[in-house]
Amino acid sequence: MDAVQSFFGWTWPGVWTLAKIVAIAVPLIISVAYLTLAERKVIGWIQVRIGPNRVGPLGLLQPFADVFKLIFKEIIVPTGASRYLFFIAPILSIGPALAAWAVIPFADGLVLSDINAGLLYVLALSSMGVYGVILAGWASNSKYAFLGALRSAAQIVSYEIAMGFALVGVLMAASTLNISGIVHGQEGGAAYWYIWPLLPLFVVYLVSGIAETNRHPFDVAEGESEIVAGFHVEYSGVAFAVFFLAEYMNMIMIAALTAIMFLGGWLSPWPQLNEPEIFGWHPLGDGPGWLFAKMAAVLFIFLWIRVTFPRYRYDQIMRLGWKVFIPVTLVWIVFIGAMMQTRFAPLFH
Amino acid sequence: MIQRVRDFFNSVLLAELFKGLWLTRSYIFARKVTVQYPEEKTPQSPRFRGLHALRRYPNGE
Repeated sequence: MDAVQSFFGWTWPGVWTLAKIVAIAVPLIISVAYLTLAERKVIGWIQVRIGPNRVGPLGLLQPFADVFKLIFKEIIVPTGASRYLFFIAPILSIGPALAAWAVIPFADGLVLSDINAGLLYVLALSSMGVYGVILAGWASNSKYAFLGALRSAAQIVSYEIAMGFALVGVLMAASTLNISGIVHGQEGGAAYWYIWPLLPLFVVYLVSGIAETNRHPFDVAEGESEIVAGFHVEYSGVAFAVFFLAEYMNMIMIAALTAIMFLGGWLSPWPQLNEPEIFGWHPLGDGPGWLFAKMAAVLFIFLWIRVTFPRYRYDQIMRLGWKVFIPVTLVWIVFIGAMMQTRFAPLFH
Repeated sequence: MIQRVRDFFNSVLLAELFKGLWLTRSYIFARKVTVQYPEEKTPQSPRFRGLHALRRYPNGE
């Protein structure tokens, strides 16, 4: 290690950070690839089909076949489109999706940047993503894309409020903005996870998370049957692939945040699991494995919801966001605040 | 009155949504109906002439 460090000299801090970024981004992109395969498989099974099984054993190479197909396709810029904005839109949507991963702790201390206002940073970046969508719809010079962008903007703005309030509940329970601190606040086993005192906020967060990422059943921004594919109708080839990547990364991000804030992050559900030891290593103890398992469970719920429910009508989405979720979160925040002043306070911390 | 209280709890506890999720869950491990075309084929009547029609029997007649 010292030899490598002296080889790079004064550039070492930059090289080391770059190496850590690659160590997060590459597995993330591969998991996006396999999330698309998992999605098609799960939807297939529920529809009494098999799902993709031709490329490689069990269809395991299908995502790579899809990627190569997209890479070889031509990117077409529509007549009258604003070229500059047209190409900057996919970059604007993938940038924040990737950058938000900087503050996600995979285990105790295993985090790229352990900043104090971690949750605030995540919130800020997840609201940046909407600019990519709006610019894509505007720059395409297409009616369908424009309608999709407007719908998406209205939807993301309304659900961001409910989502923010749900996070306020977590902040009150954890009394810290540091994401590792939030996980440490849930130590002691599954009974101490924030999902129990904050159950309504958990449901609100999960559903607003689906709405934020424009997934079924809130995908009016895409709505194939009405506006073809919404904001990315005019995108093809790699430009489309980048939007796709951003959408799935955001989905994994929401799953990671749900796991961290409500399901105890990298902590194991029973503290006793920390005890069995093999060669000085705790296979079932606290660690990234538990975080990944929880994320996989949340992602499966997303896919399950996608295949079960039909798309909401636009006015129903707005009603759910403004007239159900925001009041529910507000009432629950006041309730938590009041309970923290009574002798039941330990239940809410 | 009782009915209204019941409706309220049904909608707050997302009862209908869970019912739907439970129904789709029951199909995950159900037997699949896919016919893996080049390897498997559905039976065809010797008199088949390519007419689109609903065949009455499983042997293709």
